[in-house]
Amino acid sequence: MIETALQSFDPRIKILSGVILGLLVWQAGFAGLVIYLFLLGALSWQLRATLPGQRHVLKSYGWFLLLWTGAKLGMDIWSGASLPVASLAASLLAARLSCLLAVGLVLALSTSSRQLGMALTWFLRPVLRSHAWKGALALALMVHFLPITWLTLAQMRETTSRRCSHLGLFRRMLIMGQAVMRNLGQKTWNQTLGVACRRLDRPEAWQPKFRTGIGQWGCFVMLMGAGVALALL
Amino acid sequence: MTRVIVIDNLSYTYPGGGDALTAVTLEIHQGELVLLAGANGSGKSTLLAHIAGLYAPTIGTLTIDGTDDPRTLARLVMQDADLQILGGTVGEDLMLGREGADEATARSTAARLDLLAHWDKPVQTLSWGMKRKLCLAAALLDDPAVLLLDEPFSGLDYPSAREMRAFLASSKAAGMTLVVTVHDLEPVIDLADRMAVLDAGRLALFDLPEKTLPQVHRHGIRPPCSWRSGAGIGAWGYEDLDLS
Repeated sequence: MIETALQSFDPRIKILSGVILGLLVWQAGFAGLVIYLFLLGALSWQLRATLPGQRHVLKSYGWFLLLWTGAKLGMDIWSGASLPVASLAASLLAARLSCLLAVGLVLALSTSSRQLGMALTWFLRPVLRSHAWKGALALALMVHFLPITWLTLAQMRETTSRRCSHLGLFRRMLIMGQAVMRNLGQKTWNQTLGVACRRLDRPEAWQPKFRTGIGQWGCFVMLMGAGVALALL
Repeated sequence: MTRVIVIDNLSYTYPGGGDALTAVTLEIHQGELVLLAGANGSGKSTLLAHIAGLYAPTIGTLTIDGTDDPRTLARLVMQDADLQILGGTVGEDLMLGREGADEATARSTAARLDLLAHWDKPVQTLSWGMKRKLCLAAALLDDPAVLLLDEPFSGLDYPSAREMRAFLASSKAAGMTLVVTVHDLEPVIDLADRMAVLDAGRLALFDLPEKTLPQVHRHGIRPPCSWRSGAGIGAWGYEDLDLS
């Protein structure tokens, strides 16, 4: 039920909420962050069925967090902070990054690439005017291409580990990089043809039409109010 | 018979060099189902992309229904379904570029291809065969005069291949002009009106199936089993055979 409600929400409201929450997360203290994380985690869990390649995505999020938290810890200690102070600052950064990733995850899982593109057209229209649809098409293609890129990367990683196990890490990485670029280049071209086949390369195909009830804006105001309150905790 | 697709002396050279098609000339009539057969790299998909208006000939002309802008009349369904589906759900994908259009038409097309029950399903949860059907449904919604299918049987299991055959048969019966590329003739030869064989970018054969089949092996194509066993052009599915 939550899944359906979130998916049927106006994508413009979801993007606005994501941006505001992102700013609030950067201002919030530990208590607020924990509650944010719990709520966003619960929402992500509700939407997990729409997550392609769940393990790969979560693993890469984990590596991203570890990298930046480790870097923060190392830099703080190097600049003279004590271990407890540096650990606290690194934990705060880890909590904020986790919240930001969760915001992005909820947005991506509850909004199709098409909806994101249409919402972007709406936001960009005052600036880009008649060219706004190109931004929408570009974003839709980019978001659509992400899981394909993940899959290609995973396949190439497996192929190089099987076929090139006797080679050094640097050489294997080089071969893998070239193979990934070749594969994605071909897929990008085919996708371009796919878009052209469907005649989606024209402005009329990207005219945003949103039907948003007052209830959705009411929900947005209430949620943002709650978000601000949590940030002040 | 009305000529729908007229290709005259069409040649195509890749931008980086290398001839893909050389002096191809053929005419396809209204309501025909034409097979475009050939070995890998023979130029089938490139010719299909020309008919769809995605490539422009280097030399020669191609018209559909008299117009030289085929994109308004022909609709191509490519092999890789994942790269053609941009919507989040089946319904959203079918309504792509059709905001404000009648959703009932999209739903009835989805029903024709057994997709209606999956209308709200995320596209990544569909099977390969279902994704192919979704691409077909999206193409049909454009109401094309000519439907172009690139290797529609590749990767399909037996039930899905039978569904594809039923789709081709019903579309043909409805008067739609169909051009279908294949490298394996087995599942579709009995439905074809005519057959074109490409070999290294040249049109090697173009005639009725029974006239082209004796020569296809010279162009890297395996004739169907029924033909090799001397039984002529036979039905493909075992359900269609009299096993009594």
